[in-house]
Amino acid sequence: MKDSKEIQTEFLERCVRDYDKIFIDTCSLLEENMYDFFQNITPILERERKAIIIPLAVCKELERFANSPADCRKEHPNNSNLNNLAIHACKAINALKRANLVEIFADPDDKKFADNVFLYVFMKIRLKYSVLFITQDGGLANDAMNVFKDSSSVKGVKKFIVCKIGKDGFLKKFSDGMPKKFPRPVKPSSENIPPNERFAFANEVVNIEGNLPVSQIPKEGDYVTAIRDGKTKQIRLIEEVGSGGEGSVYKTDVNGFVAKIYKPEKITRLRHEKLKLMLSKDINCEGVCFPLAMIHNRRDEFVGYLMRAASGKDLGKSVFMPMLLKKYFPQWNRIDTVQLCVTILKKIKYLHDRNVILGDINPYNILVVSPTEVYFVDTDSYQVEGFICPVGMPLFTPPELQKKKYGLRTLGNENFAVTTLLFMIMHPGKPPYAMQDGEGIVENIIKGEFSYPLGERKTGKVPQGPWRYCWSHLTYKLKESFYETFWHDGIYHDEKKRPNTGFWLRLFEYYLELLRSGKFAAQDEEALLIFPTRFKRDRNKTYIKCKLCGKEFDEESLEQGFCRACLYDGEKYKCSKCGRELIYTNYQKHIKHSKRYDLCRECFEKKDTIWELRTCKDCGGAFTITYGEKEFFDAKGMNLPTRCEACRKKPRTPSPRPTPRPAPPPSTPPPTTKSGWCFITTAVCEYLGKPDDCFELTTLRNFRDNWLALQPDGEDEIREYYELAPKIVEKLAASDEKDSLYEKIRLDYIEPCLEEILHGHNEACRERYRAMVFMLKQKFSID
Amino acid sequence: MNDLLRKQDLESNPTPRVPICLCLDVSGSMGRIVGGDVQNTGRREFHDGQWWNIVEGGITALQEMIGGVNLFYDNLLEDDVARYSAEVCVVTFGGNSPELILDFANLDRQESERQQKISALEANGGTPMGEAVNMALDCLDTRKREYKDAGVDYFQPWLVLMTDGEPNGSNSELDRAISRTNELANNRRLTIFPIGIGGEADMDCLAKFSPKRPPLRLKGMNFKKFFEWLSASVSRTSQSMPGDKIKLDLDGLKGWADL
Repeated sequence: MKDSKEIQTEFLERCVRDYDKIFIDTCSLLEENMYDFFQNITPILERERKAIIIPLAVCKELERFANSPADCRKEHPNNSNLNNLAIHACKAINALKRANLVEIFADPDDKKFADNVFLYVFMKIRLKYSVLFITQDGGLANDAMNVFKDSSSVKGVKKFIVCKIGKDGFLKKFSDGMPKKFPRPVKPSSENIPPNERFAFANEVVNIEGNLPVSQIPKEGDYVTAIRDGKTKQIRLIEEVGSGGEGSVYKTDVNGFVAKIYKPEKITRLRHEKLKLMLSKDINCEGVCFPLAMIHNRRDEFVGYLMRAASGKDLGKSVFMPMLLKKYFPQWNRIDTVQLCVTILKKIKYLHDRNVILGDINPYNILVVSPTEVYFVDTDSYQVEGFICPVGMPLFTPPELQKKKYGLRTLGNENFAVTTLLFMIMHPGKPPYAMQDGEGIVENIIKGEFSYPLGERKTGKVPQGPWRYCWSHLTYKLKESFYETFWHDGIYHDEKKRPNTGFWLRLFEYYLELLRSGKFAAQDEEALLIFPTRFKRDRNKTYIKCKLCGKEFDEESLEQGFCRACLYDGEKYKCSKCGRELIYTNYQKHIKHSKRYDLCRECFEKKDTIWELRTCKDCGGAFTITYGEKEFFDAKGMNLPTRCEACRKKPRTPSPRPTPRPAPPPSTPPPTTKSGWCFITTAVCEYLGKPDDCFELTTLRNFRDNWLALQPDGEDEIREYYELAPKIVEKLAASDEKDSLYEKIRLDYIEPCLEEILHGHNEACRERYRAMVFMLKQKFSID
Repeated sequence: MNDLLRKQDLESNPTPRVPICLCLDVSGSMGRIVGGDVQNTGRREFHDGQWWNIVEGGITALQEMIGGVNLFYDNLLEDDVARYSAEVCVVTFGGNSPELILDFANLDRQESERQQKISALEANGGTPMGEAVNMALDCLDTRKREYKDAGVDYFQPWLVLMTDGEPNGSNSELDRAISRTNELANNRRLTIFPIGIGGEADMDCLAKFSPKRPPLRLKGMNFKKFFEWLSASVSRTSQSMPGDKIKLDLDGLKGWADL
């Protein structure tokens, strides 16, 4: 029996022996066990007299990482050891180079990206040499394998094998179906496309002036001639199926084909030349309604073109409006939206591979029948060679083209539009640059102000509503790629670095696989929802069901077993005075166990406004009667009081002058308007922007001085609060939960206290106030 | 309306909004008969600056306007996109002060209230136009703030100002309203449509509100044509994206405006 090491060594020997050229990628050179691998392979290389080929671009990348820890941190924040590994890799390469076991290969075309260099080189040598390619990157491995596959246009490619360095320092073979590791942007493989399907690149805009003469525009019922490659066919326009700014589209007597007939002023020489060019290539992709033949009228004048018929609802009026999405595609879940992305991406990739730029990508020229049946219309506006697409929507326009006239677009420009479209399918209808407090979409695009979070990187400006949950449930790779493309400092933000359709296709296909296999749904039952109702489940957290709605939530987000949404919601009823709708929230009911207010705020506050100012018959001081008090006395059939509350509480004395209250002990500071018992209320009122003599404060001060102070232990209690209150207020002001606490104090304590005072339930008020101070003491751990 | 629903409506709909404020004259003169069979009662009364013959029967200018506003709503509701994109608020001026008849909300949510309140409008009192325009601008500002706070995209708002007379509210309010609309319109933050109804509308005053677009006079009582045109313009706008240049259908103006 051979042991594992012998088997591995034999495999390595075979690889080196059987393949003509050996290439290695950056990520393999940065593997922790790269040294072991070189130890294993060196004797074999020496024996076979072979060398490993390393592109110059790879060496440069390694040197950059070795020399700049800052670059390492910026580009790979998760790999803290990168700088170190790069230094080791550079040393190893130099040593092997001296031993002639490594060859540095400088590509004459000087491709910037290492990935592209490999694919480009493989493309050139695939008919001549067999290749062993060592990489850790599954995406690149797949792309490379595709290069070495026979196709209809290329036969006789040589043997090819992709391996990665395993943990033991030996090679492991990548196979076709293996899970894909994260992909990187790659150039579209237009080199693979036969020339008869591929448009050339152009550097200049084609400019042709003038209209073509046209004596008759065909209408319903007319015969026209379809012309392609010298062949002609008579067809009949049956009925108009749509019309727009450029002309009308007619159903024809050829089943499944429609004709677009331009308005006379749109029949220009430029358009004619562009269509001629479009018809010179063989573009045939299901669902892309590309021009198929020129249409001439009966006098043989150019009037339009023939294309396949489209059907379905446009994205703008279906998927991008949640209510219409529900109406037209009620059965859809996230598998369908992801599948839709895949379907659309495949078509755009088909076009990009053939150097067709769509230009005006927008939700109104993509029609959806189902997640796998999609139609691209208005294809005559696509950019081919020097014929530009002169229009576009700002929302889909990259920062570098904003506020400019559209000229020749690059793939980089277009990839921004593609990324925006994908984002808006996964967040149905929500543009990536909508944000709270934003300046407007165009400004946000120009500044790269993207509001969705990636890990610790966040702005806190994500639009309110379900969008943050849609985002949360995406795969990390998708979030990262959106983030890096849209965020102004993202590594994919620049025009030339934006991920292309091939890149996105791999990410979405992988996501589709995870959803279809049930893996995501097993981790989180909301994974399949287009609009999840909460964040993605975190494995490190405990989830329990809300006592009211029964939905599962992160334990920490629940309050005593109730979810936020349920706590905000509650029983709806009407204000007993004005009839306005009020909510008795579940928070008040189940958490605070507070009473249901009878009145709405306005009516309640009306009660507290002064009805009349009076002078006390006994003490001669001024006192007020509020609307509430008036109502209270009227309801009981009592006369309105003529003495102030304090005098009313005291037994009547024969003297008209008041008995002086016992003076407070000397240690007690004199009760000033802002001190002592009312300190907390003062803070709350200040927070709410109420004046120092507002109803709340006046009432509570009155209660303190004229009732509480006269109770047994009352003075002591006031003194105790006098010491405590400033500490509490200080903590309160500094607290993160300040807003909610102030609100809570007001709703749960102060307002009920006021009501109790008004109704003469002084003891209850005292209890409630005590409870509040106790709660705050506990909250801030004050002794 | 319940604040929670209002917030939810705002947040869960990603469609960019087109906020429109209709600022409508309901002063006494809008009770003028403009069609239908009438019987003269022989009585005369003084209202809104002039003497009127009191009649029975007939159709008033206000009724024509109400028909137009309701048609406007119906058209928007029929359009798949405009239904979720357009948001309308209605401010009227008559009596002594302007009144907010319908506050902004999505159209579906506003529907039952709209059916009650628009048809119940009554013509009486003066023409406090400046006060009304200020109230309309305040409503638009508040709504824009709400859009921003929620991260909702929107188009710059539209203000439709319709009157059959001349303002007789406070002069300082009128000046303030004029300077506000001018500043907004010049900074492209407002599209204003001043529309005169009938021969006595003060077109010079309407012109002061609109630095870019001259006011237009409604052809006869063609409210229907006007509101049809307006809803078609809203629909077209709602199908574009914020940032796109909006082109108004100028040919369509001929249907309702005296050019």
